[in-house]
Formats: sequence, C-alpha cells, structure tokens
Amino acid sequence: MSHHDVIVIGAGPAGLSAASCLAEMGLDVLCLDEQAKIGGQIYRNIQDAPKDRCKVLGEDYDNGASIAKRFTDSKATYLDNVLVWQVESNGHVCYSRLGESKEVKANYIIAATGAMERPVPIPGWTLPGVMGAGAANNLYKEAGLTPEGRIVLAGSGPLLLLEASLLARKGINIEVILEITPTLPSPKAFPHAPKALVRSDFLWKGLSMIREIKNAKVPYYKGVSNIEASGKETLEKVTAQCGTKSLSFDADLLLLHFGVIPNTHIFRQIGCELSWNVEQRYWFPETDAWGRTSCERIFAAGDGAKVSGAVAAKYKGEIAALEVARCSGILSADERGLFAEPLLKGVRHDHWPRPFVDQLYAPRPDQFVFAEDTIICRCENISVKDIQKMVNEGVSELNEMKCITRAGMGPCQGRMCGPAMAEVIAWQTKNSPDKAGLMNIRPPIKPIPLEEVAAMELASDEAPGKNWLLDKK
Amino acid sequence: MYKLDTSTKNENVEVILDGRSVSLPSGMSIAAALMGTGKIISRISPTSGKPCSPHCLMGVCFECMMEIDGVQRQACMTEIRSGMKINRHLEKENNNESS
Amino acid sequence: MKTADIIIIGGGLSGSAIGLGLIKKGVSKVLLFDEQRPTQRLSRGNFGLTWFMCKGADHPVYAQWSRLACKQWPEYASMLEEETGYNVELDWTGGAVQAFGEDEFKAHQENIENLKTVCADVGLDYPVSMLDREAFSDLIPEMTLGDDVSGAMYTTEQGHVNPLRLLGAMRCAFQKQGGTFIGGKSVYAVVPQRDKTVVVKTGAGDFQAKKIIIASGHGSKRLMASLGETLNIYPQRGQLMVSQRCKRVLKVPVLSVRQTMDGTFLLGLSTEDTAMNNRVTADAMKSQASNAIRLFPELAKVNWLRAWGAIRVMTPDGAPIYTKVKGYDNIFAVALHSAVTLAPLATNIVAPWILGEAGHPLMSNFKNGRFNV
Repeated sequence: MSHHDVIVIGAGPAGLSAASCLAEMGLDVLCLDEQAKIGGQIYRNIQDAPKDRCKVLGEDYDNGASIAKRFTDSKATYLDNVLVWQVESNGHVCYSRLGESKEVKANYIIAATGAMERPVPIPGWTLPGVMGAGAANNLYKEAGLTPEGRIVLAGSGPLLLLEASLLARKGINIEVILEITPTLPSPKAFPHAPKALVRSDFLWKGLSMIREIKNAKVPYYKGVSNIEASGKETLEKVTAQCGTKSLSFDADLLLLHFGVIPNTHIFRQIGCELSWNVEQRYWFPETDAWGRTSCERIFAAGDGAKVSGAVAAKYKGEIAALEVARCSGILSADERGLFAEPLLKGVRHDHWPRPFVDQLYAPRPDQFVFAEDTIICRCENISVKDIQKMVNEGVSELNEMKCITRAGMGPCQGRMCGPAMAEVIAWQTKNSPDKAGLMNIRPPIKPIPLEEVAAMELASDEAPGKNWLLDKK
Repeated sequence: MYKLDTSTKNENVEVILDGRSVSLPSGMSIAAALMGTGKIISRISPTSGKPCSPHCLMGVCFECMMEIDGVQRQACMTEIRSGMKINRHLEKENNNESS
Repeated sequence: MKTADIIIIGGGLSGSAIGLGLIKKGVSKVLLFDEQRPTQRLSRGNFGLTWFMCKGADHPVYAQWSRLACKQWPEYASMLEEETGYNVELDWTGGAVQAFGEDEFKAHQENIENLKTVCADVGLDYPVSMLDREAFSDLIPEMTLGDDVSGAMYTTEQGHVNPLRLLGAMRCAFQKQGGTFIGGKSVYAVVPQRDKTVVVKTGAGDFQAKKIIIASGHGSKRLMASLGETLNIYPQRGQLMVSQRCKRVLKVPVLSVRQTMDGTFLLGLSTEDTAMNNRVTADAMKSQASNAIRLFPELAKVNWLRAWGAIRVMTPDGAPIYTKVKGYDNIFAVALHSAVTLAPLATNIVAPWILGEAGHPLMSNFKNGRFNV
C-alpha cells in the first residue's frame, strides 16, 4: 500500500495551494481530486477555459490560473476522478478510481473538500427546471452552457447577485430577481461597515455588480417570501409574496441560492469534532489556528472549514501545509512563522468586508419555516409534514428522525435534507438547530459498487520493510 | 433550458444513451452534455416515481444518478467518454414495486 | 413531585414494547423515558429478522421462546398498523441460511437435526428443512445463485420486518393509548424510597413511581449497579451494510442478505468483541460484500450506500434477561438482543408479568441471577 507524507483531498484553491507548497518543500504529497480537472468549484476548468469565457467571468476567476499553474509546476502527484469514500483518523484513505478501490495512507491529511449551496426546500423545488444558482455557474465554466428561456433567480446572498450580474453581462434576459433579504439591512451589519470600507476595491466590485443588474433593467424585489415553483412535469411558474403583493412569473428555469455552507461529510465520517456557527447557521469542523481538526493528523482548509471565499482558501491551504511541513520535520517553528506571515496578512486583508457581508445576508430563522407539503428529503420523498409528525411523537434528534422516517437514508446521505430537517425540529421544539444533533456519516462517503469493496486489497498492518543489511545476497 | 456555446471547439463523441447511439459534446461531464443537448431528465425517482433533473451540478444532490457502464454513478461527476453505455431507465415506474 | 404508576427507563425496542403492553393492560400513568443518544439506538443494529431458526441449539428454553414470538408476530404487526397507521413492513416469507460447498451443507443438516431433537425434548416441533441447490433456486426464482451455493436451510414460519418503523409504531401506539413519552432527557439515578416507591432523577426533573423498569441497553448496567446488582450483559458489535434501492427481487430473507420492502439490500452481520467501539472496519465490509456476491453474483454491480455498526446487548447464554432487581419487588430490568423478534412477547407476556400476573411458565428461566449458579 502506498504511503505518502501528505494526502490532500480536493483541488480547489485550498487544496491546490496546500499541495503546491508541500511539493515545493520536497514532501511526498498525493492530491486526490474528485473532478476530472483541477480548480474545484470556483476555478472549475480554469486550465482549459477559452479566453472569451475567462473574460466574461472576470478577474476573480482568472486569479485561479496562477494557483493552477503553481500546482502543475510543483509536480505534486495528482490523481483525477478519485472518489474518496473513507478516511480514518490514522491517515488511511480508501478511494475508488476507474472502477477499482484502493487503500492508501499518509502521515497527514489535508481535507479541502469545499462547500455547498445551502439547501433550502421550497414547494416544487424537485421539479426539473429548478437548480442551484451555483449549478448554472458550474455549467458555464465547465461546458460553456448558458441558460435560455424565462429565467428567475431567487434567494439571497452575494453569489445570487454575482450570478445575476454574470448573466446580465452575457446579455441573457432575466425575468426577475426575488431576494428574500429585507430591503432594510439588518442593524447588526452597521457596526461592521467601517471595517468593510478598508476594502474599497471589494465594495466597488459589489456596487458594479449591482449596477450591471440595474442597467440590464431586471425586475428586482427584496423582502420576498413564500417562493414556490410549480408545473406538471417540469417548471412552469414561480410565485412569491412581496409584502402585500402577490407575484407570479412564467418560468423555464429557476435558479435558487440561499448562501454557502461547508460540506462537512468527510469530517463527520472521520469523527472530527464539529461546532455550530450561530450567525450563519452551519456546522463546521473545529480547528486550531493552523487548520488542525480535533484529530491530530487531519487538517481542514478552505470553505470546507469555514466559508470565507477563494482568496482566504488559497492562504489557509498553504497555512495548513506549513504546519504539516513543520510536523514532518522539514520546517522549524521559526521558518513556519516566517512563511506564514505574508499569508496571514493576506487572510486579514481579505477578511475586512466579510463580517459586514455575512451580517447583511445572515440567514434568519423565519426563512426556514416550510410549508408542510414541501418535500424535504428528495432522495426518499419525505415531506416536512412527516418530520413534524415525528417531532409530535417525541423525536427531536436527527439520527432518530432518520431511522424512523428514512429521511437522510438516500444516496445523498443527508446532504440536501439534513440542514432543513434540523430547522424544522428547531422551529417546532423552540430550540436552536444544533440541538437536533448531526446525522452520523458512515463510509462510504459516496456510494460505490459492492464488487469494488469485495475486490479491494486491504492494508495489513505494516508489512515488514526490507532490511538491506540482512537481505544481502 | 441551456444552450451550448457553438464557438467552443468541443468534438462530439458517440455514446449509447438509453439503448440508442447518440452524438454528444465531449470535454465535459455527462450531465453537462445532456443538459446542453436538451435532455434534461436524468432519472425517474424510485421513491416519488417522478422525473428528476440535475440540481446542484457538483456532486451533492445525487439527482443526476444514472447507470453508466453498468453501475449507478453521478453524471455530473463523470466525464463523458466515447463508447460509454448510459441508461437513464426513463421507462421504469417506481423501482421498488414488488411484482 | 411528579408521580406515575410505572416509569420505564429506556424507550428502545424492549422498553417501548413493554410500555405498550402496560398501557393495554390498563395502567393509567406510564412514563417512557428515552435519551435519544444516537450511539445507543441499538435497534439500528438489528437486521430485522423475526426468526426462530437456528436459535437455542444449546438452550431449549430460548428455542421455545423465539418460536412463541414468531407465532405472535403476524397478529402483532396487524395490531400496530391498525392502531397507528404505521406499516412495519412485516414480510412473512420465511427465511433461509445458505450453504457454500458440501461441508457447509452437511453442517447445516446436522444443525437442523440437533435442533429438532432439542425442540422435541420440550414438546416443540422444528419445521426447518434442508433444500438442495435446485430447490433453493426455485424458492427465489428472480435471483441467480453463486456457483458454490450448495443449498440452504429453510422454513416458512418466520419473516422479516423494519426494526426502526417497529420502534416508531410501538411508541406511537403507546402514546395514542395514553402513555407519556419523554424523549431527549437523561435519567441520572434510581433512588428507592422508604415507602417502597422509587424516585427517578431525570433531566426533566424528579419523578416518583410505584414500579420502575430499567430497559436502557448498555446504560442499564450503571443503574443496576447503583442498586447493588451486576447485570450480566456484555457488548458485542455487529456491522451492517445497506445498498441503494433496487427493484424488489429477493422475496425470502437470507441470514446475511435480505432485501427490504423499499428495495434496499441489507448485508451483515458481524459478531465482534470491540467493547463499545461502534465504528465500521474495512475488512468487515469487504467480507460482507464478498459474501453477498458469492451468494448472489448480481449484487456485484449494486451500489453500497452506507455501513454502520451497533453494539448489541449480549448475555452469556444469548437468551434474554427479564428480572426483578435483587431485594426489590418493584424494580425490574430487561436486557436482550433480538428485541425485534421478541417484541410481541414483551408486550403480551413481559408487561403482564411486571404487573404481577401469573405469567408464562418460561419466564422464570430469564432471571439475571441464573448466571451465578
């Protein structure tokens, strides 16, 4: 079984920076990427995207090119199309690639598996024609696909507006933007406003985005609620409420976005401790300043550890790599500090506007009150009503809920329904969502065929190494 | 719902889709290739019996699960290759009906 | 202080089943406490077989007890569905244990003969027969048998069920008929009082009751110890795997592979000594997957979705413990594995026994003290 100094899981900005740094230091690093090409989500297809696409996506996407180049230049060992399905805290990793499963091990693991769009059920969200706004973004980056027909954007958060501005830039007609964020910003945001002003470039970017949308004359509603998608076999209509006004739009494509949350499945499968972010309403792996989780050999970096965006991810990936290099004996603590200094400076610089933006778009509990017939577990077709019935029968913990209703037992293992289920329980029991617990995540992190498991070569513990002295012939 | 950017020089590849030979754009995931050519239904849900379509396009939602070379996989996480046998089983109703 | 007639500590399969039985017997105030700790939800580790086959080879009473339970199952399932609307997915299609190769075939035959004798000695039949490969194949026409499957032992008089739905159903019936369920609160201590009542200290306050039943799985040991008796249980891990939903083709559950009503294949079931560690191991998963494919090669292409482990409550002789705590007339403890199979008996026999009714003659065999002889 192959043994590496470090295994980096994920090839987005955090993973690429971590792996590059480690390879440059001379460590044996193996980068495992679930996708076919490096870049993660934000820099999807960065190395092969045609020039005109890069131009449309702008400098935020283009920044990925240098990160990608550094990685390829570093000669870190890279494997694409790898499905990591089990990670143990002792550094063993099981993965599937090209129909075969293998076990490998490393002294340290940096998991940079990224984030996901917060799944917020609305009536009709399982209809073909309803997707995440990030999904449309991914299709453009990966394949140059652009949406057509009557397009509605709904939800909240900077990425919703980013996607809207991208579509506007490409001259795509948007029917309407339905934002659930109230017209008047939360007063909690104002104390953070001065800090945000430090990064005038960031604010300028935000304002140009909004201007682009305005210039395209896209109808725009704020303080919207009760968003619903309807149609027979595919999406036909989107309705919503804005104050006293009832809105209705014929639509072919509804792009939903309600913010971004860490995709924590890998950390839960390993058994790392997680904490609840009260303001942003998401779970995240507990880490120290270097990204080390509660499991000594496991590090977390990037949006999977804390949602802070691509630039912070790039720095945090490398910061984790420096600590791993120190633990591996390559760097002294002084050197680590020296190299970390500019990175930490970069993190601080990037961070200025975040508290302000985070507060502007902070999720509110009333956003998570769902109509009872809404499907909450898409895989198993369980409705909000089914969850509420169980809460009435005394069940208030997510695993118990899963066991009895089957919600969370489908292939997505609770990725799409877990957060919303916790909110339903929270609303009914008048507790915060974290009191509902977290669904246990067991291997495989994603499904793999039984024949692969059956055929796997397993590591027997430490086959004795060759002894050159005694083996001399 | 989505249109392919005709300026990109992706060559097409031949695959067997639902038993028939079909030409699809290459250099992208199966999900993207299908979405870009108007084939938006990825499977019939075994629990609701309703048609499903890719939702997240990043390997989280599992709505794009389909049979790819004999095994159920996420179409958005699988790069399209020439000669692949892809079956969405769209003619099936509820998979778990006991006969 | 809040009072009750009976308090049950532990709302798992056994506690809930007994609670239901007490309510049906007309006890007016029954409180069922369940902590809802995910690692202690042992019903997750139950394969869901409602079986008597293979049980009690060296314990005729256990063989009788399991058989009795199976006989009561169909009516129990209907009762639950009628009273709560929950379909516990009881599939009364018998059960089989496969044999690979000639040696295993012979060993199974001997096992059947042995149990026939053991059962005959206590006046019981043992309606299990040995099927050769062809007969086994005819039994499950939609499955293809692996090359070295030589046959299977088989009976028609048992089935399989959804353990977790069962739990939901029993608790629902309990509450519908007047029981009080308190979920998510811990029970810290059981404190017997001078006036022969018992005070139970919990996360929801103190409660006083006339009778207490300790049914908290591994947590029972601690509560028993505080009352001066050692509960003779030990932990035993079982690992299971489940597949994605498939078209329903396997109608007869086999010991290590069954297809549930929702189409998923359940594979298992290991037996390991790992104290309270309930993690899954790669070699158990590999061996279960290999075994399943060896039995039914078409499972090779089916996706494995999840594996998990649960820690059974095991007793030294494998049979249940239904006992009065030494020195107390009103404090009881129950501890057992196979709580799914035995659920009807918990409701129909154990609950009345707790109320002081004459009880089934077999009940006296399940005292905790029997291991001290």
